[in-house]
Amino acid sequence: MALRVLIVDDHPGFRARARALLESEGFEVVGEAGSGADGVRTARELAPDVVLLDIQLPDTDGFAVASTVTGEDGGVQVVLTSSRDGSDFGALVGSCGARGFIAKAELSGARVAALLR
Amino acid sequence: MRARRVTIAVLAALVLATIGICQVEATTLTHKNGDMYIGFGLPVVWAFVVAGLIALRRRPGNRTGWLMIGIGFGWLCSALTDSRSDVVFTLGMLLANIWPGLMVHLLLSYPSGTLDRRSRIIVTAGYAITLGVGLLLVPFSQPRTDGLGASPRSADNLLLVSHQTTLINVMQVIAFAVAIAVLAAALVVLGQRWRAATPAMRRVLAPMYLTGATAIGVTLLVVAILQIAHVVGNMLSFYVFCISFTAIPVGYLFGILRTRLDRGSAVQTLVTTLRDQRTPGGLEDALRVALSDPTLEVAYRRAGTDEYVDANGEHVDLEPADGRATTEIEHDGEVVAVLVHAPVPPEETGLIDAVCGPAAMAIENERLQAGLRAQIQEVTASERRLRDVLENVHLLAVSLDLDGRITFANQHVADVTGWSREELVGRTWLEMFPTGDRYYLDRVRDERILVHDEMPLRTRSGEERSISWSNTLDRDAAGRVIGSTSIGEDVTDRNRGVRQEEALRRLATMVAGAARPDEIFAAVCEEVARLLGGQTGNLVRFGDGPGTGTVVAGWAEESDIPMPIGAEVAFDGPTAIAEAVRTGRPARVDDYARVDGDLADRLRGLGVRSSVAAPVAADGRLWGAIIVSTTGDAILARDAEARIGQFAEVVALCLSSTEARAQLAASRARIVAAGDAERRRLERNLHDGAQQRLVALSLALRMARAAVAADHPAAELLDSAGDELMQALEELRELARGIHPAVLSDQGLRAALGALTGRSPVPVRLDVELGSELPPPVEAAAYYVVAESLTNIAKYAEAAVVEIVVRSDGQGARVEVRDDGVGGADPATGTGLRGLADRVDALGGVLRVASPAGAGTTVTAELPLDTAGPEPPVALGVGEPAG
Repeated sequence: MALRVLIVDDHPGFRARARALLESEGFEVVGEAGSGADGVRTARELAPDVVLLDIQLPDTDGFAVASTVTGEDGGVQVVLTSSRDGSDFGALVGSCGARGFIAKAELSGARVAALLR
Repeated sequence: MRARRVTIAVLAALVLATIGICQVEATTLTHKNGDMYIGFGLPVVWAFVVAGLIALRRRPGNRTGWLMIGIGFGWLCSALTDSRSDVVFTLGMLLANIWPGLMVHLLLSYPSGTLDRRSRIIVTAGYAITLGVGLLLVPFSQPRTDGLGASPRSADNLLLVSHQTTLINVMQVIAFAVAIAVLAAALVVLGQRWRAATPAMRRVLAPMYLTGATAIGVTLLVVAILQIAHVVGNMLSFYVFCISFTAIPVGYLFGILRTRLDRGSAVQTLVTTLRDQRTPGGLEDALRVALSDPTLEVAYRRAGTDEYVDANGEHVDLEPADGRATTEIEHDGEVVAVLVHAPVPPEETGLIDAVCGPAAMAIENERLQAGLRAQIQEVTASERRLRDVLENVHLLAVSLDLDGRITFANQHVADVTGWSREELVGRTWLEMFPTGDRYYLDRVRDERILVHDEMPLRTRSGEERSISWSNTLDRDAAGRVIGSTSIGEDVTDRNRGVRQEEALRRLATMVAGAARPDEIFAAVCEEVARLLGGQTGNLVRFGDGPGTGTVVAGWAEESDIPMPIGAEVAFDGPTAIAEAVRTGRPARVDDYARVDGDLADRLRGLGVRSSVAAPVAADGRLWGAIIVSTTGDAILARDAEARIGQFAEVVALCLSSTEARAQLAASRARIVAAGDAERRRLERNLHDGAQQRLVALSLALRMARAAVAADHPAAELLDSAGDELMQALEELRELARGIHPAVLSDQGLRAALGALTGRSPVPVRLDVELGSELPPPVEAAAYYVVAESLTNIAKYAEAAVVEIVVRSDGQGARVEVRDDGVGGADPATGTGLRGLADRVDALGGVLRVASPAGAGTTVTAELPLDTAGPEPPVALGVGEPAG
């Protein structure tokens, strides 16, 4: 059964390419959100298996969204992504409840799956 | 021996001549009374010859003796015409008339034996008629035949050529007239000499002149009487003539005798006078009496010098005036005094010697006393000169006795202190000037005086002056200390000038060192108040309304500041501050007792006596004023107005400097902030633009690769392109991170520092405790301090561990990065630390680097949270009226 993915990113272009890429690798992209608040709400509605969450969002940052959605009942997992390097965020990635970080340029279904195992 | 032979020869000649003449007279046929001739005539001869001999013995070089001897023998020769022998008779004719010429010569040359020019003419005329006319007539005169006086029985004139009665008569009339003229001229000369003669000279002249004049007078009188009575050939005139002429040598001898007697009596007089006189100059008076010379002066030679002084010690110039003579007095072979007196005839010089011999002791005594008096006079004169100098010098000169009483004060003391000299002299110094040295007199008495000291002196008006004194002990003749004399220089102005320079330098240093304006203003108040002798100093900033202000700084000698900071001041009435505002120049009020107005009342209430104020202008506007005041009875320095202005300028300088500094700091902070914003924007653009596109490209490539079989020719190309793209993205990320750390803006300092340390190849212990939110510029500065430090540590430090401590409170943040590496970092080299220091400085912070070799490096940044620079200038209202 394919993993259900929610993509939260304010760049529609990235969302489209990520959707195509992940779906090509067998993921089911169940929804997209362009802001932190939309992301949290959509995650609650759709209860995806994983949220691919951009760190830089127009209304808040990915760490805050991650803390929120992982802290709620339902077992939603979060993978953070950013066009920046993960080391730029130091310990924040590990302390926000996310399963890990994938640089946008390196995004692939295999990497997402690897973080979730 | 020679004198004795001369005497014997003359006496022998006299005896022979006497015998011869007696023979002549005994056998004469000329007249009947030969024995009477002998009886009256010979005493005249003998008297002159003997007196002449005595005169010769007294003064061998003097002609007087020879002239008298000559007169004696000449007189004798005139009797030779009584001889019966023709030869002797003729000889008598030749020599008969020689003695009247000698007589005139004697009188006119007496007593020196020499003739002056005028006398020489008269004497020559006398010789011409007595000798010349006589000789001229000898060839023409045969007395026996002319019947005029000569007896018909006299002998023959052997030289007779031809008897000429008429010629004889004419010549005799001429000779008589010339003789009268000569006699008259001689009498005139003698009379003049008598009048001009000193008493001593008159004593010498008197016997000779008296007897001579008497002889001439009596003879003329008798001749005249006999002529009138027509008595011819009467012997009476001859007798009178003989007697009166005998009186001349007798008078001379009498004079000598009297001189001898005088010496005795003069000495007696001197001794008696000296016994009664004890005052200076007594000896001189005694000598005047003893020597009968009221003009006599005694000049005493000062021991060991060639200087002469009188009895009072006054200098005497020994250049002899005309008509004055000097006689040196010796004692023990040394000249001890010189008598300056009327010229003394040689006969009288012995008198001086006779008098001065016994008086030598007295002279010596008086000389020593005169020397002492001269020394005293010198000392007195020297003291007078010193006093003159002290009087006119532009220094204070004061003498005190041992009780501290002022015995002397020069005019400058009065000028400086304001007390008149009459008020000062007689009062004690401490009574007049209580700030004086209380132990001064003790030190004077102990002879441990301080040669130089500087003491305050409060003038009559209450002003404090500084006097630099030079002190000396005064001693009496015995060397005992009797007081002291001090010379003082008023160094108040000089000291104040030096202190002012020092104060201004201190303040300028504070201004240049960017000290806080409130500190500078407090220092200005203190410095200017102390300098001008004030007890308080205040700086007032003017308010909006006219005549109001707020105290912004103050200083007081006592602990309480009468006008506390923040106090509102409204200046009305003619107070110093109001005047300074009105005129725009420093102004002073010396006594608020007579000033009207609320402020004056308030100042009086605070005990203020006087004030000086100067306006402070800033940015071309009147900003405020600086005021120095005195309390109690102290008064301001007299040059306070001139000096306070410079302090007002320091305040203005401080204001403009602070303003400029604040503007500069704000400007730098703005530049930094603008730079940061620009970098943030750049980084965001990269992130949102190029990075996103490349990411999208990367994803597309990966999808394309996934769609291509592994053995497809494009697979390898796509893989290679994907790798290149990843590399490009990594480099772009690195570039963006260097431009601006996004995490700092997005996640704050702590997260940014965490990310930094996470990337550090050297293990880092990070300790961040932020007590308050940091402004972005401070966060950025802190971040870059850590980032640059970690970069340097990774490159150079060879450190094992790095410790980073970040703290902040409400005032500022402190960042410390310490490693255990090799140290030796030099912030002057390398642009990284230099740029950091500029960034920190622009925020008003300080960056320090301590990096001793071998002991690691510690970089510390102190960052004020208030990033607008040092003191915000608006708080001081520069250029803006206070609201």
